[in-house]
Amino acid sequence: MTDTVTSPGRLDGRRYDVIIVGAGMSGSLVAKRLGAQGWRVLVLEGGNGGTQTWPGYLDSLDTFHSAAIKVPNSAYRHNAAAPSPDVLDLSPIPGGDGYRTSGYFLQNGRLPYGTDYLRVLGGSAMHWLGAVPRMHPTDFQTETLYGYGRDWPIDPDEMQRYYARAEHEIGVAGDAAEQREWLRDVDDPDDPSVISDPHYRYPMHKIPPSHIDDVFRKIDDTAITEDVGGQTVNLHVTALPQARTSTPDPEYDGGAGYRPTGAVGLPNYGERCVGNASCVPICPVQAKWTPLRLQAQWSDSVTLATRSVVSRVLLGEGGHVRGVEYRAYGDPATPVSDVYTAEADIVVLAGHAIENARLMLTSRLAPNSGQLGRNLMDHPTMLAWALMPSGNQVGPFRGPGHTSGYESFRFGDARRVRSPFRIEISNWGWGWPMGAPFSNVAAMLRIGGDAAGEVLELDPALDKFGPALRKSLGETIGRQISLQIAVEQPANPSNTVTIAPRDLDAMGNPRPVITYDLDEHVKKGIYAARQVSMRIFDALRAVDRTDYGPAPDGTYPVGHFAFAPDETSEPLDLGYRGAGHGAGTHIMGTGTGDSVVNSDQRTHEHPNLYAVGCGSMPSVGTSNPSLTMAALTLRSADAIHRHLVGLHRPVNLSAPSNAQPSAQPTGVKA
Amino acid sequence: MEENFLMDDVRAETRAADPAGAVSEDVSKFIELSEVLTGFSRYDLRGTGMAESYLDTVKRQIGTSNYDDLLAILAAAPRQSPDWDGRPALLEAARAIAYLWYTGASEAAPPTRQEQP
Repeated sequence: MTDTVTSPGRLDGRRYDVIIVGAGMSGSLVAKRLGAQGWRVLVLEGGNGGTQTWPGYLDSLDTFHSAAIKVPNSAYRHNAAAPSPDVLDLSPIPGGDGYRTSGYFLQNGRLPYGTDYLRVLGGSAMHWLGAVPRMHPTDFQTETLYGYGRDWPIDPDEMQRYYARAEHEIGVAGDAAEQREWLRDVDDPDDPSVISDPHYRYPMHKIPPSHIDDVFRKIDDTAITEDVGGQTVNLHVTALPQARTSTPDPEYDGGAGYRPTGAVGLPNYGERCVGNASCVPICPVQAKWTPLRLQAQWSDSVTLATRSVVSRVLLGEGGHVRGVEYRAYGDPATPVSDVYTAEADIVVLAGHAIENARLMLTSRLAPNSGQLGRNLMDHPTMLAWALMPSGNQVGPFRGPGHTSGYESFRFGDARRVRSPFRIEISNWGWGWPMGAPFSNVAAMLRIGGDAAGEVLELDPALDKFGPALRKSLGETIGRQISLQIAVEQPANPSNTVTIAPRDLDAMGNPRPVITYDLDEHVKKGIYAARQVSMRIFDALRAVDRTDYGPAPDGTYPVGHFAFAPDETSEPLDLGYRGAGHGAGTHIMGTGTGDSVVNSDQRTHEHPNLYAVGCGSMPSVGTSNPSLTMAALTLRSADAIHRHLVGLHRPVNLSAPSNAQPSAQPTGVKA
Repeated sequence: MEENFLMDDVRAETRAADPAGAVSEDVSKFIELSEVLTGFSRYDLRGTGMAESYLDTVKRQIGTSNYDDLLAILAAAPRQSPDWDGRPALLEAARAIAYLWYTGASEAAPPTRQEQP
């Protein structure tokens, strides 16, 4: 068990083998691997801890339950010292078509960046859904295969074993046989699958499908065409691999089986997923995996300091970094901080993609690539919602956010024309698009008054109380269905994170400035996704209620744009939401001229500085990126271990007979 | 099952003692009023264990005197349309109590909720 420091000042001036900035998913993975190998590791977390204890976990649950608006960050208290962007920071312009932003981000892009993250112990995985699909081999090579985006400098075949290792670390429940069969272009007999090993099994059996999955399965094999790329797909409901505890598969790992790790803060507790519907942000029975479980496995050579915001990476000689400067604070509500330093042979930046870029920009690092802070990505997500015919109760708000989806529009040559997309079948009714069921209750009760703030008078024809209220709500909410369609966004250097040198947060660090837009390729993908959603709803005989048009007062929803894929098509009012999948800000590549980090996630310009996480990804495909980030992080943890071994190799005092340049990076201790 | 008992034990230590057994007359009246507003039976409402907390919230928000007036209006008309004439704030309070029971939140959410990683 690791040593957690709550008065980080006493670490001042100490020296470590590795400093890791950020205790989220990737930072926690690196710390676990390096700690197990005996390296002295300091993990500096800017956010608050607490949820790793049992009372702290219950407090986070209570915070969520009492929140008036249930958004991903609403289980965790506001932190003025380490502020997080919140989806509620964006609002429409009354009577207009655009967005306004408040809160942590400054934004000046044509379209809003609607993605949040969380600066707490455990990072954004403290609010993630736990969807862990693999990227497809073609997703790593879109430039070569389809002529858009950027290729990875890593062979997709090599990623297979790191995916398997990540799925073991996280504990994934899924159906590998179905993934092998359906997670590929089924029209191309030669297309590889996301899982190449014919014997691979996930650690746990898949999470049981929802009743809504069964409703959609009734239209399996229906042919659905989208007109933009001309792709036709036969529908097939496919189970989602998930990072939540189900029934372990005794045949996993050649018969070794799998033992799930339990809850944090209370040994021998933690259940299988029992269908609670608050996975985002927090599972009441701790079936959902979080990085806190990794942290419970850290060796005692790992030291964790929370409430310690790294403000600068300290540059040494020859482009090497020598450590970090950090600010430690006491009360997150009224932050007063003191500044300290810590030094290490290797520094690993493991904040969110935007935080890594912000810290590197503030520290004036990687000045020569021209790519730092560029290529910001997300999965712009088109929501479509509909009502099943009267009498067709589907039972929404039961189970994880989605347990199944349609995968086939992710693959195939239509990607040359438009972005591919992955269709999630929501189990949470109109929760994401419309704020259901809360908004339904508010609307039916006619609560909140009119536009002028006057209470709406009793209208016996409209007002419902008692059994009539209960019956009406059940009848309508019970028929809500929706699709969440995540569209691939390729790396585009004009989508950027910069810093605002004169607009500082409470720690005195510059706030991030986001400049964001969607290009034609993405908009064509969203258009096709909207078309597909209409046709799926038609096949279900559901009434499509999707609406991205203006409200009666002329106000368009945040993320609205009107678009037609060509001159002959009718423009549609379209829209998207942020998926929380920020990526690409310190992009990976082969040389300083075009990228910030190499395939080990080591910065080209600073031989002992690594920047790990989704920020390194050259493309995100149509998969929720956490699993790929974890796989990539495990690969880098191996590289960092080799790097440290190289630095600590005994110095050979005899003169080399024929000196050869070392393949190992030259280290500060050399 | 053993794990469940363990959880319950710890919760009991962590939180205030469960008051579900004994309910005051004040809470009983609130549950009766809530039954009329929500359409859930008093048995269901009491079973949530939330009545005391909700009553406390309501009294803090509208004040004891308004709450007493609300009780009087609803008690006078348990099975017919209550008379809200001249008391729009109390009508809104009645809506808010129903909203509280259905959602667990004491203020209404605007009809948008965004994002889901």
